Amino acid sequence: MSLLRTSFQDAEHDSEKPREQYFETWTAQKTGITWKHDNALSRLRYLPESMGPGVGIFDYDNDGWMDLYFVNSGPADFFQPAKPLRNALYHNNRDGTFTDVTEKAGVAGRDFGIGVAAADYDRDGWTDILVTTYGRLILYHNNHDGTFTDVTKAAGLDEPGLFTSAAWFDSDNNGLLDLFVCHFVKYGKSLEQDCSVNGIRHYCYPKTYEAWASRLYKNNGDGTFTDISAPSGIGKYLGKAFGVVATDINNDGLLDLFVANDSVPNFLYLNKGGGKFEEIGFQAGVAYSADGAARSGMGVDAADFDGDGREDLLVANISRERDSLYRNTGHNTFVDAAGATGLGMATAMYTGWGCRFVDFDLDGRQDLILVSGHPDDLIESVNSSLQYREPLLLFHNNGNGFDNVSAAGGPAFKESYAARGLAVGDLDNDGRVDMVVGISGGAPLVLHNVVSNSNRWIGLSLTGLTVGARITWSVNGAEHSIFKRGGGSYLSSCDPRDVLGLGAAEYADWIQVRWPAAIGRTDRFEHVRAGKYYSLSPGGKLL
Amino acid sequence: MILLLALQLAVGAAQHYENAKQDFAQRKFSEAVSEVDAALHENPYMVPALVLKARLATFAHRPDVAKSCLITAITADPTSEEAQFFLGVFYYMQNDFKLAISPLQTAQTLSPENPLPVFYLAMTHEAMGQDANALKLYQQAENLSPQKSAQTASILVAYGRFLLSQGRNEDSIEKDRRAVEADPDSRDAHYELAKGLDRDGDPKNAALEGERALTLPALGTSDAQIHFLLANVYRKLNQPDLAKAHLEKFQAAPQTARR
Repeated sequence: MSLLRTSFQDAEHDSEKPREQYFETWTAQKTGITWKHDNALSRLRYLPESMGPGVGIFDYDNDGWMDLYFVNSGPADFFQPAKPLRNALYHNNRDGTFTDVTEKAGVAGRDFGIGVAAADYDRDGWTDILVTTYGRLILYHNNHDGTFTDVTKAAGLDEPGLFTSAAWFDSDNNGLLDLFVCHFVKYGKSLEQDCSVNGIRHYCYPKTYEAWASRLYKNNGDGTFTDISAPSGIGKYLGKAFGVVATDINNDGLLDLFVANDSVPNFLYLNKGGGKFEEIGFQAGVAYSADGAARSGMGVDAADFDGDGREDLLVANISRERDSLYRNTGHNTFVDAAGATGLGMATAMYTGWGCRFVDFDLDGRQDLILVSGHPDDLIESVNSSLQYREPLLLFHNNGNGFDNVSAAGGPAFKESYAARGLAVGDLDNDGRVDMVVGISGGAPLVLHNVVSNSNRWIGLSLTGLTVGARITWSVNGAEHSIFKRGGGSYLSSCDPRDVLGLGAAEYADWIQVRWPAAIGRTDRFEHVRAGKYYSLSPGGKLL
Repeated sequence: MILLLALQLAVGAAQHYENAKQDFAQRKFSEAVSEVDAALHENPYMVPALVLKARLATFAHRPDVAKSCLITAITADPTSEEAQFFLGVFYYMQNDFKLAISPLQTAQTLSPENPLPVFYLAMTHEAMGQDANALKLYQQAENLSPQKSAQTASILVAYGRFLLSQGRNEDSIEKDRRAVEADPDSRDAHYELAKGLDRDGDPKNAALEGERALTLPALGTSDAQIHFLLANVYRKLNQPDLAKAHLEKFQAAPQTARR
């Protein structure tokens, strides 16, 4: 444990640091993004109002530039919008502006939209879109011409529920992307209760609702899916799932699933092969707090933050519970290092949702971005220490722990938001990772990375099956590594490309891609020049 | 004549208050409520009685009454260290940490040698994620504490728990050991020591401390918490039967979750 030093700096110490600005805000005026989220806020405070929205960063038209997708509320048994609401797909115009192409693309959604997970599920080389809702799932198939077709029913995904985050991953190493969808609780307008305080309705705590099972769908390879929740073992665990990430916790080549539950224990599904999973959250030490209390987990992510070759896990929890940073100690066990790394104290008063490990300053280490906001918009009326709108948090990985560098994050980091979804990606192809935040009941926040150091980078766009690949690179003899996880953050979908930070080096000594087990090969490239995106398919050349 | 009447009322109020204090100490809460109400009927601004009524209201899950009494008490006498302290504790217990700080600081100023306001200030700053302040205040509370008392043990237990949350295992264990010395029958102290030892890679002694904690009266730490710890510890000690038994007891107990 002494490996990790307490590196969080108190606010007074932060104030002594130079005020570098890491992110600038791209306003709606600049981007042309006029879409806003409607959270359907009602006097009766129906639960789904407090959940969204998710955001997606992906390239729907294969032009090499990341486009944006925003999820909106919509008609439900408790909500009939006064005017039509819709999701929005924005095409990247390559100049910092975006054009709304939703209607042409046919991805406006239906039902009460909550989250998004984008992936090429049918291996045709074009990104498809899954939208989670309170209502029925939506699967949009990419028609390769800027339009999509709703194939939900034909795909066998036309399921009702209160779905939140989703992850695409190959559960059985057959080379096809399967789908895990978080289901929150058994819900319907008739199940809603009166959780008033002093005569005023507040959102009910999750304990009010019945836990429910999440879903695992097997990709049949013909455009259809089969619900294998029961035979896989996942269906027997009733949770209140908000976030999911698919990663390989024991480097056995099988993708495991970590699921954050709200107010009930988290689940860690160990992939046993053959389409079977074993839930080991308790044994692994990631289900409960150190005192045996189930926390309110929201967003999740996975990365090897300490560079020991093992994937660590992050859970963004509700205020007063502190986030969990589970350091992988091997043998399928974890130790919560949030306190030792300073992350615990820094998040003590915030409710985290979207969260993502990403190297924002290109030094080769995975930093961390967290977005927050209390779920109860009336929280300030019952507790003066908590706020509905909370600040964004930015942590720099110093190699031994995290420094809270939010004060240098830029103007947006000085404001507070009712933030939910977070997606990261390179919107202007400059190699510096930007971020997009979904704001409950408001316009999305687009933050452009303007880190002013001279660090260099190599972008890598892997094609085909990529979740489960490990990218390793060496810079001046120092090795770095990224494991390509599926899902992560909250309700959101990130740029599928990877940016490898090189520090000051002009070349990577070498780059190695160990493809997922279904592909079963490793490609290696020597002396790779910095400063551009390369495309790579298994066995191919860096293009 | 009026002066005499006032004197009689004051004496009556004081007597009712003394009775209430005794009843409270003997955990005769309904009798204490009657006596304290009688005291306040005769003297509505009797600060010690208001504070006692607030404490009784807290036990009765009436935070509205508790808060009202404490604010009345402070209005009547802003220099009442007791009223300021309990108002701070009230806000702390309500998780309203920002509001807790001011009365606790006032109580600290009014009674600088009393470790309790400093102790609660430490816990408040910890809850707010202000670790540097919390560390300083915990140390101050420890320095002010009398040796070998249950109060000292409580302070050391909280201090040790804070240090453990910071990853300072060895420092945490040292505080927990001293807490056990100060109050050998403190379940909290044995439990926190067990947690520290487990985190520090000593499951064998963690199991001993955990088992000892289970035998002590449950005031703070619940049985479920200890079973959870022991299930983990015995798993590490490769004693699956014991691990399973404790896990089952943990799962059978009411689960704790904040929401």
